[in-house]
Amino acid sequence: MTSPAQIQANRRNARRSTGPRTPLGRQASSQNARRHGLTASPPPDGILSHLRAITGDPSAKPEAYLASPTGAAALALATAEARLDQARAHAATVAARQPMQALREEVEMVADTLLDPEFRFDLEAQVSGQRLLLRLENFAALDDERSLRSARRHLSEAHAARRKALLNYMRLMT
Amino acid sequence: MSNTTPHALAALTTPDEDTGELEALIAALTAELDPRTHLERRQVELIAHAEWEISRHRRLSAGLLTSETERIRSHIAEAEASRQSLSNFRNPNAPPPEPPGPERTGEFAARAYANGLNFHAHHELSTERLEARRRQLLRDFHELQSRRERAAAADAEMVTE
Repeated sequence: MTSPAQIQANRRNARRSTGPRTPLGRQASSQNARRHGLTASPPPDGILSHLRAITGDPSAKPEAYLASPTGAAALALATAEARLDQARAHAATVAARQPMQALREEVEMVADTLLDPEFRFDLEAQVSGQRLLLRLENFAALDDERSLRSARRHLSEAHAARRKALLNYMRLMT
Repeated sequence: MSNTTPHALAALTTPDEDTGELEALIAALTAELDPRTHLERRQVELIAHAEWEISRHRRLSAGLLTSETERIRSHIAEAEASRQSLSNFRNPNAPPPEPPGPERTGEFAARAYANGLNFHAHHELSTERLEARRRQLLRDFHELQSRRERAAAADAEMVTE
């Protein structure tokens, strides 16, 4: 159990804690856990341009659309469209990424070593080399799969949210 | 006319893809489906993007299969040459080994497919998912179109009354 002296010492130490103090530092550290920003609100510019295109009103302002159910549905659709744009761009970035280039090079190096005449007939080297290859390939595949799966999940969610907003908007417009 | 700017289209393509081809695909679908409103045009653009992604998955899968088949072919050719060099010690007059012929391409392709099974399964599943999404987008597009036509017909009736 923690003794009173330890509790006091913990409290004294906690007072000396060095977290970010300036507004700039706090703002920077507030983004520490940010990964891709896809779950955050989409950019206001994107929402506004979609809202203006959906309503056909070049001077539309989001606040004015909250009053009526149709306006709120248009705003929800514009938000969903902006979120979908973000998710599509992120998915394309993940698709364009060079998957673990360093690891791929290592896999090729091990594969080439195993073909080397010095090791080709060395059973022990072949077995351990093949095991290493399998582990490296599995690791590379797992990393690629993880980012792809995350991008795909966000894209599917954005499509589903957009469809829901679209159907709601269509229902209210007729 | 597409809703998406060339800059936004560039964000949807990978560096090895041609944005012009995606634009041409959107233009072809626009000509075929004849969207009239912003939402219809957006729907057409999303359908085109789904098609684009389907072709990307097919291309990646085919590319992987081709390169892996070639890698296996060259490895087997190398292994056979090495085996031949050993047997040449015993029989120096033996003919030089022949590289694996085209009749073995099927065998190499099957091995290449098995080697990259995870990747091929990923591309196949993604293609299926995207095809389902494309069907749904197309259904929603037709729903938008028919609602617009019904509204236009109702307006015309009111005018005649």
